[in-house]
Order: sequence, then structure tokens, then C-alpha cells
Amino acid sequence: MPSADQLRASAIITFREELTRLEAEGVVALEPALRERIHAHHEATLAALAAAGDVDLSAAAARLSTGMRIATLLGTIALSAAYGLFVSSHWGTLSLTLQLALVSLPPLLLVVLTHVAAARERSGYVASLIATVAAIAFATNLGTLGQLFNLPDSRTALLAVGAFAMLLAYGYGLTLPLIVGIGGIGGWLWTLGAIPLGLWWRDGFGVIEPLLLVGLLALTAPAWIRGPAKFAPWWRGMGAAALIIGLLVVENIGQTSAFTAADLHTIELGYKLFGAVVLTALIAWGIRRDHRVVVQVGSAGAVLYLFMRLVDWFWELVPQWLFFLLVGGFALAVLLVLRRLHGARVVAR
Amino acid sequence: MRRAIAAMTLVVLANGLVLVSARRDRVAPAARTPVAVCARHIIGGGTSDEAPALRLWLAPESLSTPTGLDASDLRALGFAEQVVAAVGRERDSTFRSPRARPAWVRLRQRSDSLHEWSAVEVQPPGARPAPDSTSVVLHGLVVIRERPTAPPPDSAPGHDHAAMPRAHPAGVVHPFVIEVIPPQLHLDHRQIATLRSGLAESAGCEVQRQAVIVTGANGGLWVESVR
Repeated sequence: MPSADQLRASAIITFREELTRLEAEGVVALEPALRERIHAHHEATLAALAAAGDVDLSAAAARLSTGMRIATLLGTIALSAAYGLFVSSHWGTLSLTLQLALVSLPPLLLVVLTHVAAARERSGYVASLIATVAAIAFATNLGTLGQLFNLPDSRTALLAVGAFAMLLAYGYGLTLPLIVGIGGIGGWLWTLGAIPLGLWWRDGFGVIEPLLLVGLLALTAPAWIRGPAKFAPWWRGMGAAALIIGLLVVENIGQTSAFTAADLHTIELGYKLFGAVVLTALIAWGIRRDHRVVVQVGSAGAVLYLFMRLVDWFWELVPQWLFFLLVGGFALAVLLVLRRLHGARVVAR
Repeated sequence: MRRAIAAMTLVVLANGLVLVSARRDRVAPAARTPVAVCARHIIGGGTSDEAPALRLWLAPESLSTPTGLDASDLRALGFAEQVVAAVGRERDSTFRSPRARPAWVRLRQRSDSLHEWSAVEVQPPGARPAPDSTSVVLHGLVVIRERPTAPPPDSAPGHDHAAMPRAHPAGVVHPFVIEVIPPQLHLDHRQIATLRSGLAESAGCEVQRQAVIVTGANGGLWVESVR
């Protein structure tokens, strides 16, 4: 997602292009003094944005930035793989002290590197990648410690890695570690559902209701967690995705519900009805509050949900060619409804 | 900067906590258990990608009911009444295998040719069994599942029944330990080198070495020495 600075710079460039077009078509002719004032203001704003962060002021610069980002991503993956393969190929011959140093120092060094990268490269892209590798290194660190000291696996590692990634994400305004953080803390919260059910923590991942609650919590998180504005869509998007994936799983596999003592058919039917209500509410909420990512994720979930219902209702009743004809017709109907909604919103504006 | 320091503190704290508790555990060992080690029990070491470890192979005979898995014990582990009632009977169509339950498991090494481990005792999570010098105690997962019945005598190799439609006989529902946690114990570079050199000629259990597994003051397990 582009930064707020990049969005502003792009808006200024688009404004200039559109103004030139309008003037060429004779729609508007600005007073030279006014035109000069706007131009000077935009120049100053662009200069300030360029000084404050890494913004692309032309399409060519944007393409160059994309190339640099791909190179950085590949470089980071290659360096991580080199480190991982080196350690694993020599692991069996190393003393305990060396083993401990090899797994505990990288996350510390990578935090320092994140700090340096965030200060030097203002777009935050390199810092974001390094911080993510730091979180992965910390997860490896904890996993290896557990292996070296024969500890039983624990959900606490998820919390620790999630908190670590969150500290870096909020400390430097980095999106990629935020995703790792939401995943880590969300995963930890999800497994808490295993406690009242008396299950081993890992088996908590097989129970869907806590995931639905985690999704709901993430959806509302931007309202009660202060942070960069660009984080809000990620919280909402991941929350909506968790909610939808959970519903799609539990309505098809009733055994993943915490209420397995009840009849499986009743559980699945209940969640199918609940899913229809939740998906509708989610999309409506997204449209009303102008949360684009919620609408997109909700719509994708609704299409999947309806496709599954079509399979439930028609797959065994009609020939396969007719089934796909029905799906195609249904997709067209959805397209028509969405076009009508889109048209209504344009008129309203 | 403040959050970077907080992140580094988190790393140091997590590592420190594990190291300090491991050190405390090892100061006053509670029990030492000598065990036989065969080539098939060890993994990793040398140029292998896997971390060197002594694997705790569970014998298939662990399917026999260990102490602590009768009806009242299964209820104590949290299994529902209708699941407990199904134990020991042929599985009917209404039976659904429940989720695994965590428990403390006492493992004892068998003295047969494979030297695998049998679960001999199971206790609920709140009642950890005391360690002794003939067994190790660790976490485990207990399941209640259908154990397939032995195939009928006419299905021995050489008979081709693949094309014959035949109903699969229902198995008997049985509780058993499906997994122990951790499933293997770490070996340091000297231990794995000693074991690898001593067991180099063997693939199975014809040649054996001896290791001592120690149970720490707080229940931690580690391989103290190998001979």
C-alpha cells in the first residue's frame, strides 16, 4: 500500500496533468498569478515530501523503486536462506555456546539494522523487510531453544514473536511486521480456546469459535489502538479474513466447532445461516464506513459462500454442465447488482 | 528507539528465562534413567540438516491400555461420558473420535530387540507422576480411536482380494497415547559423535550403546551422557 506522502505526491501530479488537459480543451483558464501561486505551493509541497520520505515524483521513478524493492526482497530472502542453510549444515558439530549465540544474536542484530535502515531509507521498505526477518529469526531462536532444552512446545512463543513484531511495526510504522504481529498475537489468542476445552494448545487451532472472536477483535482494533493510519486497513482486512475463513470452515466441517456435543448437522446449518447474516452485515458496514478492504474481503467471502451453497443445493441434482451454467448465470447476476450499487453511489456523490 | 530497545529486551528476557530455568532444573536432578540406544533411535548429526537428537520411539504395543486409562481415568482426562462408554466395543456409526487430551505419560523402555518405549502410566495434567530410575515422565496426548481389527486369515499375501467388494470390519474403540511431547531429546555434538561412531556399522538394533536420561528438579529431561 502506498504511503500517505506518496498518495499526496501522486494527487498533485494527477492534478497538474488534469489541469493541463482542461486548459487544452478550453474548459478552464486560470489567471497567471493564481496558476503561479498553485504551482509554487505544489513545488514546495513536493520538495518537502521528497525531503521527508522516499516518494516517487514520476512514473519512471516509481518503476525504478519497484525494481529496487524486488531486488531488496530477493536479497533478503537469499541472505536468510544462506544463514539458515549454513547453520543447519554445521549445527551438529557446534558446541552449545555457539549454538545459543547463533540463534539468539541474529534477532538483536536485526533490530539494530532495522533502526539504521528506518533512519536512512525513509520509504521504510528495507526496514520493513529487515524487521520481518528479525521476527522470523526470533521465532527460530525460541524454537531452537525449546529443542536444545527439550521443552514442550508452547503457545507463549506465538505471543512473544507477535509482541516483538508489533513493537517493531509500531516503533517504525512498518506494515510487513504488523502482519506478522497480528498473526502471532491472533494465533496466541486463538489457541486460548483450548484451555476451557481441556485440550493441548496446538489443538486449539482445530476449534473455530475463538478464531471468529479474534477476527472480530481485529476488525475493531483500529478504534482502540492508536497507530499510523495506514495500519487500519490491515487490521480490518485480516480481521475480516479471519472471520470469513472461520465461518466458511465451520459451516462445512461442523467438527471444528467447540459445540461438538450437539448434532453436527444442526451446527453446520446454524453456521450457514449465521454466515449469511455476518457476510451481509460485514459488507454493509464496510460500504457505510467506506472501509474498502472490508468490502473487498467481504465480497470475496460472499462469493465463496454462495458458490459453496450452490454446490450444496445443485451439484447432485443437476447435470454438471447445467451446474456451471447456473454458476455463470449467478456470477452475471452478482455483477449486475454490483454495477447497480456502484451507479447508485456515483449518483449519490 | 524506545520500541527497538523494548524489542531487544524481549529477546534477552525470553532467552534468559529459558536458560535460567534450564540451569535451575539441572542443579538438582531428580532421577537418572539408563537407556539402550540403537542406530534407529538417533537422528541428525554430522552434515545432516536435522538437529541431533535421541528419538523416543513409541512401540505400537502402546495400544495396550496403560495404567490410568480405565473409565474413571478417561473421565478425569476430560473425555465425554458417551465416548468413555464406547471404549472396548466395536465402533458404531454414531461414534466420533474426540479431540486428543493432554496428560502426563510415564514411558518405560522395552527390553525386546527394538528397545522402543511403552506408555505404562497416564495421569491427568494436574497429577504428575514421580520420576524413577526405570522410566521417564513427560507430556503426552491421549486419543480414543478405533483400532482396526486384525485382517481375516484369508487375506494373507498371495491372495488377491482387491477386486472383491467386501465390507471393512468395524474396529474396537480404544484409548491410547498417540504422541509424547517432546518426541525427542537433544544430543550435543560430542554425544552424537560418540553415538554415530559407535553405531556406524548398524542400521537396526543389533549394536547398542548406553545413554543416561536425567529428569531435572522441575521435570525437565535431558541426555546427560552416552557410553
